Amino acid sequence: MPNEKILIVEDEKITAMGLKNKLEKLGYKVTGLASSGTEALAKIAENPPDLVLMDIVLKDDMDGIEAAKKIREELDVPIIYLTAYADDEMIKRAALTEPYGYILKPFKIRELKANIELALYKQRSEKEEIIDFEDIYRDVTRFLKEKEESIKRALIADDAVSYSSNITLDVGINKIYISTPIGERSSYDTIHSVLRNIALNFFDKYGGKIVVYPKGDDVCLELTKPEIKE
Amino acid sequence: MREKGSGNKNEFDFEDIDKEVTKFLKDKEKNIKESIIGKRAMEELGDFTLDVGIKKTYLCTERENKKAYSIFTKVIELFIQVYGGTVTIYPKGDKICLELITPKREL
Repeated sequence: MPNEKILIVEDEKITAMGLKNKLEKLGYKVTGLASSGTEALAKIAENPPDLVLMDIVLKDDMDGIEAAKKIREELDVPIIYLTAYADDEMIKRAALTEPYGYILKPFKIRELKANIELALYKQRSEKEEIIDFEDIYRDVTRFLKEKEESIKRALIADDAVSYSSNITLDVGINKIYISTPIGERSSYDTIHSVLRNIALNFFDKYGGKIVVYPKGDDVCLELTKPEIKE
Repeated sequence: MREKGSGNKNEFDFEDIDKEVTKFLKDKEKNIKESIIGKRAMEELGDFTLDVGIKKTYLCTERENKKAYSIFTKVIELFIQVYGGTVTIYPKGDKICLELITPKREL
């Protein structure tokens, strides 16, 4: 329960103060009151909150929806709109910023609390969506350790094996990826040798689509694998 | 079905290894995709290509895809938070791509 940090964006000072008191009574920590979109962005950068309560009509060039859009582009902070307006156009604009709630004024404090809790819960579960599958990655590490050398030997021509230490190889489900530093003298010899080996040994089965592109200090080669019917 | 012919040694070796790698990865593909990229990012991205390799996961989408940069940013943020791994972002023709290094674990 609470102690989550909330920023209030509301241009009516008295309304903002009243809301602050209510939130503090509910156990939330109010990080600040902003009366414009610009001030909200500055306060968020200074002390990032867990959630923003955003009025839509603000005394600023930037309204609440625009401010919310900028916040969502830069930070993963959930936003709940608090507004007295509910016309279709406004709702449509607000929806594009993917808010976690849209509460019409006047509202009951219980309604506000429920919306805040749901938004925070949703945000947490989205963050926790990425789960570290320890066992899977341990298997991959083991597999890679066992097979890496065989993959290299199988894919690189014999005459290139001697300088293959500067080649990075990866085999994916759909493609084979080869990269080598662009600045080294042997890099193009490596690429040439790998290409020749692919052309001689794999072209007829691998469909022939090879993409070569630079990536930072590396030159990369991608070979699309054919679909294999089991 | 690919058939083994009387080609040279490399061809046989690579076909066998490739089959083994592909089978291994296909068993783990769903979990790796969800744990590295995340279901939500995949849903929001719309059109994209995703390939799971034994060393890296490769995610590409059109540079024109307006959502790409904000979604890629979220993917990078979460990946670094959870795994502390290296992410590379780069343009490739009309595409913008991410490479995320598969997390290594102690054996």
